[in-house]
Amino acid sequence: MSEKNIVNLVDTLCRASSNKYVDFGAINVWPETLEGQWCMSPELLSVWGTETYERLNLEERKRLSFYEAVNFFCLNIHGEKPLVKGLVERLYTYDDEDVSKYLHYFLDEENKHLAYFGTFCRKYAGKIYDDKKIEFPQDRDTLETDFLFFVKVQIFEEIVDVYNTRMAADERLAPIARAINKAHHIDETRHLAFGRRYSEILFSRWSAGVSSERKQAMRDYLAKYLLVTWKEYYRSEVYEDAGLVSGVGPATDLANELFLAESQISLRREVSENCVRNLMLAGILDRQPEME
Amino acid sequence: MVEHEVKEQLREWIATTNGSIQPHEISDDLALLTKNIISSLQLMELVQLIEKLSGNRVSVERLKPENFNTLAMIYQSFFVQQAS
Repeated sequence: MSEKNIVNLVDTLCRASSNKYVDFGAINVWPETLEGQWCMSPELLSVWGTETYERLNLEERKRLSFYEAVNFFCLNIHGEKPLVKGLVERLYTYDDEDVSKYLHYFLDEENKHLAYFGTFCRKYAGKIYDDKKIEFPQDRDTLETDFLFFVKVQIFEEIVDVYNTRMAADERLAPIARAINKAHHIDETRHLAFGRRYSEILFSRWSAGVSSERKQAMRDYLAKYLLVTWKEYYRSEVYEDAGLVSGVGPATDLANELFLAESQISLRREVSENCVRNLMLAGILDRQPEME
Repeated sequence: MVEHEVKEQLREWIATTNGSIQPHEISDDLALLTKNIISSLQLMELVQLIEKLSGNRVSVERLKPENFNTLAMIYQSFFVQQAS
C-alpha cells in the first residue's frame, strides 16, 4: 500500500462512516435481566474444550457466559479509552491532513462503543472490571510512539472483531448481546481497514531509520504484546463471580490452567489467524507468535 | 505467608521469567525495571502472582513504576501496606 493510496481509502471510509451513521440511541431495548441467557458463544468461552466446561451444568455455563461477556466488554472499554485519548492527541498534529479528517469519524464511533459497553456492564453486572494491563511512559520518538499506538489498536481490534462477528451471528445469544456485537463489528470493519493500512505505512517510515536489531526487538515486543492481550481473556475475577471457585488463589490458578489448556491454545491460534496474517503481510511480524 | 517466603516465590518467578538470572542474584534492591530484568509487558503476570500470594486484588490504575522497581518495593507496596 503506497502512502498515496491511503488518501483514497480515507475518502472511502469517511463516506462510509457518514452513510452508516448510527446514533447511540439506536440500541434502545435494554431488558431488565439477562438471567438464564447466553451472553457469549460457548465456543468462545475461556473454558471451552476443557474439563472445567464439561463439569459445569447448563445454568452454570450460561452464568459464566454472562461474566465473560462483561469481561469482554470491559476489555473493549479499556482498549478504547486510551484509543479515544490517543486519537484526540493526534487530531491536527499530523503531516497527513487527510488522515486527521478520518480520525473525527473514528473518534465519534469509539465514543459510542464505550457507551454501549459501559451501559451493559453497569446495568447488568453493576461494575466495570479494572484494566490489568500496566504500561508506563517510555522514552520513544514520535514516529515510534505513533506506530506503536496504531499497531496495538490494530492487534486489539483484530481479535475483538472475530468475537464480534461470531457473536453477532449467534442466535443463541440474548438479543442485546448480539446487537452490541453487531454494532461494534460494523464500525470496526472500517477502523480495521484504516488501521491495517496506516500501521503498515508508519512501520515502513519508522523501520527505514532503524537498525535490523531494533526492528527485531520491536517484532519480539509485538509478539509478546499479542500474548499479553490474550491473557486478559482469562480473568480470575470472572471465575469467582461466576461461582466456579472461591478465593483469589484458586481463581488465579484456574485462570493459569485454562490459559495453558490445549483447546484454548488452539482457539487463540485460530482467532489470531487474521491478525497475524495481516501483520506478516505488512512486514510488521516475521513469524508466527507463540500462543502460550 | 511470611516475608522471606513471599520474596523467595517472587525471586523464583523473576528468574524464570527473565531466563538469564538466578534467584540468588536478585537482591532486595536490584533495579528490576530500569535494568530490564522484567519488562512492562510482564507486569500483568507479576500482578497476578502478587494477588495470589497476598490473597488480595490489586487495583492497577494508580500504580507507578516505583511500585515494581525492586523486590523491596514490591513487598512494601503490596504486602506490608495491605496488611496494615
